[in-house]
Amino acid sequence: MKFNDSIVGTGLIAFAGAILWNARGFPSMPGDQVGPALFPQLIAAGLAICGAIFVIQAARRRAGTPWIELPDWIRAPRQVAGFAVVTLGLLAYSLVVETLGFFVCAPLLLGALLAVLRVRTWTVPLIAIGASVLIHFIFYKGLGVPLPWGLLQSWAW
Amino acid sequence: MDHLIQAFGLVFEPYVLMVIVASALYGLFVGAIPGLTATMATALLVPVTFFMPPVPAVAAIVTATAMAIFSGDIPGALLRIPGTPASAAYCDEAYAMTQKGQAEVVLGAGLVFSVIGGIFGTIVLVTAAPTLADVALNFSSFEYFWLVLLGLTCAIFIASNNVLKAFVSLMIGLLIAAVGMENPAAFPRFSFDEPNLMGGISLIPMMVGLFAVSEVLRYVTSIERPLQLAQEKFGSIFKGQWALVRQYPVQTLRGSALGTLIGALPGAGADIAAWMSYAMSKKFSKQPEKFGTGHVEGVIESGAANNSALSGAWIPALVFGIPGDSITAIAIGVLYLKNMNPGPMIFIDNPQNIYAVFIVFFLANLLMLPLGVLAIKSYKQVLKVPRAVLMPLILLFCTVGAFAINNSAFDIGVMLAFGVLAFVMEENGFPVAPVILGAVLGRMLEENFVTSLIKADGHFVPFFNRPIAGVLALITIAVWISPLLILWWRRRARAATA
Repeated sequence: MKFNDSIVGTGLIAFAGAILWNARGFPSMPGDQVGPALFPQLIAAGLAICGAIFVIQAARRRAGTPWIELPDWIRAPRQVAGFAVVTLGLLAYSLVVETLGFFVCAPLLLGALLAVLRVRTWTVPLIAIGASVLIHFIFYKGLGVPLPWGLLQSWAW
Repeated sequence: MDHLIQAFGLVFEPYVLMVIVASALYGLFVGAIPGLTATMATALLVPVTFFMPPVPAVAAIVTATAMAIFSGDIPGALLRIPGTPASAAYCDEAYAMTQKGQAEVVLGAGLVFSVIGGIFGTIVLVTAAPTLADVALNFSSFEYFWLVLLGLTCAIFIASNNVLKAFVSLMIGLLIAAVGMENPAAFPRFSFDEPNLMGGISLIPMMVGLFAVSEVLRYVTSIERPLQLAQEKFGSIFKGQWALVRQYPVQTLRGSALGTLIGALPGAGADIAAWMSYAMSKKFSKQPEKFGTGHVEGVIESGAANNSALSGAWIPALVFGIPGDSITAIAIGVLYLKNMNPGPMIFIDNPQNIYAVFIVFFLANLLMLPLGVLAIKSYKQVLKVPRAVLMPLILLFCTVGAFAINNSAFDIGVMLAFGVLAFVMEENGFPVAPVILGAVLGRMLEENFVTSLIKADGHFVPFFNRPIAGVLALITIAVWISPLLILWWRRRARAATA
């Protein structure tokens, strides 16, 4: 997704404003010249200046570039599905993995992505489950990471 | 001397040697697959190295990256697709050589001169780092403030072709570093009462997101074309290489030296070193007209440069804690987690660890010769690994790795957020390297600034009147105003001709 320079610039200025708005409540340190607000304020100033330059540059060019240029893949259903599985799938994974457990979430995430990437159908469940077991073994047994068991707690090994 | 013997003991231990060989094979594989970069190799390694003692952890990163930078040359020569961005500079040249039937020559040159460049960079690292560390022992917060600022400045002005966009990236990185309570006032900033953000944004999940998840996103949104190898069977890889070494000694040396230097500059890594070396090689060549038609000279110079850059990047990383490229930025994150904080003190407190790292560098570069040949000869098999299966596995590995650092599902969200951020940034031409540099160096910059300001009682003069601080300040400011000077110069030149 490509944004026009004036959108980028306006966005940066708005973002800088949000930083300043958030930093206004930071306390000042008694006796010191600098408090915790100074650095964020400098960053916000930097972003706002860059934003302004983007807007000015875009205005000078006045070329008719669209506000937002959609990427080519947006018209390809498989690519859109891939993007959705990675982003929404990961988001869902992070939200439910502790209740449902690794062995429910990991094969589902893997299987969904494998299916979208057109891996041969009959191998999808094999790879999804096999790879989940392997990664679980490496991290849980090998490295001692307490991957959540969730629903399968009673089968925990 | 005792420390050196200790260091050998630390490295020549079955476990460490096994880690080195395993990460060498891993690095060769990742580098050879188009779409997987050396930085990504590092980001994926980190969750595993997190559970290792410091020496094998660093050894894994050093070895894997050195191998990946070399093996990125293989798809460049055989498929005309650079395996990592560091091979992009001479990819067309290498492919042209393959088409002329010189695949063995160009792949052999890639291997041999990668090793020479890597060893050159390592020798500079071994000699320069302890000397610099001695100097750095006298540094106060003033020097560190300017050093960090100079590093960040280089990252914007030298390492990027769009200063404005690089600056925005850097600001985003600095803002990330500002999150949480780890600031001189210990006041929770931008944590929005979220307990997971109180300690700041975890660096490792962020890096995995920036460098690995973003690549997975790029892969799933791309239209995959079948890969067609230009040549599948190879004769002797080393045939004629000695003649090349004797024919192009200046080029080899120049590429290695420039590479080490570029690598040592913060923000600029192996890929920029390769581009600059290739351009330099063409400029000084006796046969510049042959460049682009399948001429080995540029491949030699820039092939040496990208591997020497890798070693060069560790100089500021180990001595000052200022990363020379994205890979060392990740490595510094690992060192902090291991309580092996980089800086001049490490050379006094833990010299055996530093020597061990040096030994690993030599070992990794020497190991590249036999394993590199193996990688070239078996490349046809490597390509048989279907990326449609590999990418989902990488994604799950990232997810578990991000979780493993703090055993927190929140960090998976952090990883995802930064993966999407890096994906959108790159689509819009914003470089990602300054983000990571800002995030790693932000706290150091702020701490040294605040400490200095308190020491100086709010005045700015003491920032300049220590000799080294003054020089660093001068260089930093000179880099900042250089674009304006160049602009003014050009206008004057134009006015003079008009």
